[in-house]
Amino acid sequence: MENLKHSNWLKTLEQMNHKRLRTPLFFLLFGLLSFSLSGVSSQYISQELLIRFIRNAVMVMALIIPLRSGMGINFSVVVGAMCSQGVMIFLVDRKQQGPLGLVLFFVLTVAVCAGVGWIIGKLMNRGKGFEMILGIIISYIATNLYQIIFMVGYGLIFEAHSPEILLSRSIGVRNMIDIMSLKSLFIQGIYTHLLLIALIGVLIAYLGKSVFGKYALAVIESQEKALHLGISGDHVRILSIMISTVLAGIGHGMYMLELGSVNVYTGYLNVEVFAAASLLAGGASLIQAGILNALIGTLLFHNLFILTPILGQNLFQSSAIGEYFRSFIAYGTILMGFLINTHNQKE
Amino acid sequence: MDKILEKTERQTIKFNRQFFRFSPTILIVGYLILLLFLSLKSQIPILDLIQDGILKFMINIVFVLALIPMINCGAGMNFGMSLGISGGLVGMLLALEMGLIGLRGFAASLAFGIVVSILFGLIYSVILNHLKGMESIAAIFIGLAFIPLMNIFWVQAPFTNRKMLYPVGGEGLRPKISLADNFGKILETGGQLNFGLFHVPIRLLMLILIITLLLYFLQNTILGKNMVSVNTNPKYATIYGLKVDKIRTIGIVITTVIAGIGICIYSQNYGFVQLYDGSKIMTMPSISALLIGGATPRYAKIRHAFLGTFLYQSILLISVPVANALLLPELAEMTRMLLTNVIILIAFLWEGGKQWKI
Repeated sequence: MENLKHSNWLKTLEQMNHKRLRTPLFFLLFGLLSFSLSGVSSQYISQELLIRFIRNAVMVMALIIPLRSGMGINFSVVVGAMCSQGVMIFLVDRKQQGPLGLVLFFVLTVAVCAGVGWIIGKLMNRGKGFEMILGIIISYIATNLYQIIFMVGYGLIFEAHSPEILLSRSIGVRNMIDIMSLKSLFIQGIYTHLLLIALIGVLIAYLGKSVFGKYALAVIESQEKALHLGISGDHVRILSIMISTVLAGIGHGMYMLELGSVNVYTGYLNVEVFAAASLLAGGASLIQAGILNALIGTLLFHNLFILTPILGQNLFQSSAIGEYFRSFIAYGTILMGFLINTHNQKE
Repeated sequence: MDKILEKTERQTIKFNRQFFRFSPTILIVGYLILLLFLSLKSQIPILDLIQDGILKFMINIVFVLALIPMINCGAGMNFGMSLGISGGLVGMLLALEMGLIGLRGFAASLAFGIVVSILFGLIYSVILNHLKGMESIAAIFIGLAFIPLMNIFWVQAPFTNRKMLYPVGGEGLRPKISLADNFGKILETGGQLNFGLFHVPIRLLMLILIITLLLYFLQNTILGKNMVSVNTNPKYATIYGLKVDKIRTIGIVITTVIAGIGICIYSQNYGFVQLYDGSKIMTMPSISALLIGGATPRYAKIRHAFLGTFLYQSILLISVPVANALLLPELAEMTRMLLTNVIILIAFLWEGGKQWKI
């Protein structure tokens, strides 16, 4: 008994406010209800969930670090996804589809995402207090730039080395690009993905315990007091955005490698919304989040995500209603996250 | 001596900053001049363009005017414009369902639209009043979450007019419903004012003048003054005895209602009612137009709306033929979207309190 009292698990359970468990419980109950109503087999749902989990978990975990530095949800993770897509298209264009290509992909993605993350961090430091809306507008701008580069720039300004990725008018990249050779190199079962997810989880946990995590805690308390201690708040915030963007790039790379193709103009759409909704569904608030929140949230959210179209088909004879309902859940979860956050602040 | 030197130095720095202050208006005027220069090379029918532009300006100005009350009562920019637009759409669909034709149909759709928009505005304001301080981000997600809800409504709504339903199956509304038999172009067919080569439809002009005058008088009433004080300092306003939430609610509802009127005017010109995700597209361009005119996220005037819409629509108008002449039609649209979003970004960077340094 004595040992149990001091064990870590009980401590975390005590620290965990029961209010924070409400959202995951709601999602769990709702998920179980829709599972029983939809009438799919448990084998089907577990297989689908596993695939979706290994595709999306890293993207959700990328949101944790900026959230801990007091910047809210970093909606500009989608920029990281775009960067990794761009790097992948560039490598396919240069015919780097071997082991070297795989290594180059990760190295280049990390480099490009770090650079872009630095710019985003600088912008967010200029508009303090508006980080989330800035993240959304930055992601819109990045989408426009991405489209300009790959719809118009490729073939017109940049020379394409392999013309088969271009459209027939030789300006602009095709809608879908095949990377099956890279996929067969990368995936041996699902263990590579699970290993990478575990590694990134350990990294985030380590960052939370390290000096960086303590600095972030000081910054979230008060930027001025942190400055007296010799901690530059701006620096911590830029670093956390950089880490987040890099993780998002790697996460989207894993998604593409699992899928085996690049959806050039649609692959990155709504990535940030689903990631944010997953994190909040796992019981995170706008100032606190852990890896457990991310992992559980991914499972709970994607459970509903798989089931709602089937449910709409069964109950209303129209799968469109299910699709609309699931996008409502995604946006509504984020909105509920905001409402719960202000409610807690008032208390 | 040193002190005086320091002082003059400081003054020159201040002067320089003000002189080089980066303004979205200047950015857009520069882009416009560039486009005009490019358009000189290609043969473009200028007169037709201007006539087209007058109509485009009149149709889009209402959406931009709709933003003003909400900004001035301190609830931020109306990123959730799709609520008001959905209200207007429901109003038009009700008028279509009843089979009303002509001016009567348009008036009925305005009336129904206003009632539904007031309802939506009340819901919108309840959520926004809970989320003071993060209205913009909340408004974005309210708007985005509302669109799928309305989509479910469009699929399930009990309308019976065959013209509005899917031809196959007969359930659920079509994405595009034609207004040609009911009140398509109704505001443009009446009398016209002629200014030399150009003509302005009187009905449309009257409607816009009424909305503008109402907004102008609203600013000068006690309610309008109270809105400004709620915007500038909510705490003092509370001490003074103003009901902050109530005044904000009124501002938000007015904004939603005018957006609903805006979509009625837009649809009668376009000739179709656009349902489903069509209500998403108006938000960002309208906000950008208002910011181009010189408004900030905290303060806007009616003249900002007029100047901004004029500049924004001119760019839209000139860039399409220029891009066609350059054989890249997509580029015009992409550059315009990029500029739209960059201007909103700049506005928020200023909102952070720091001045833009070059």
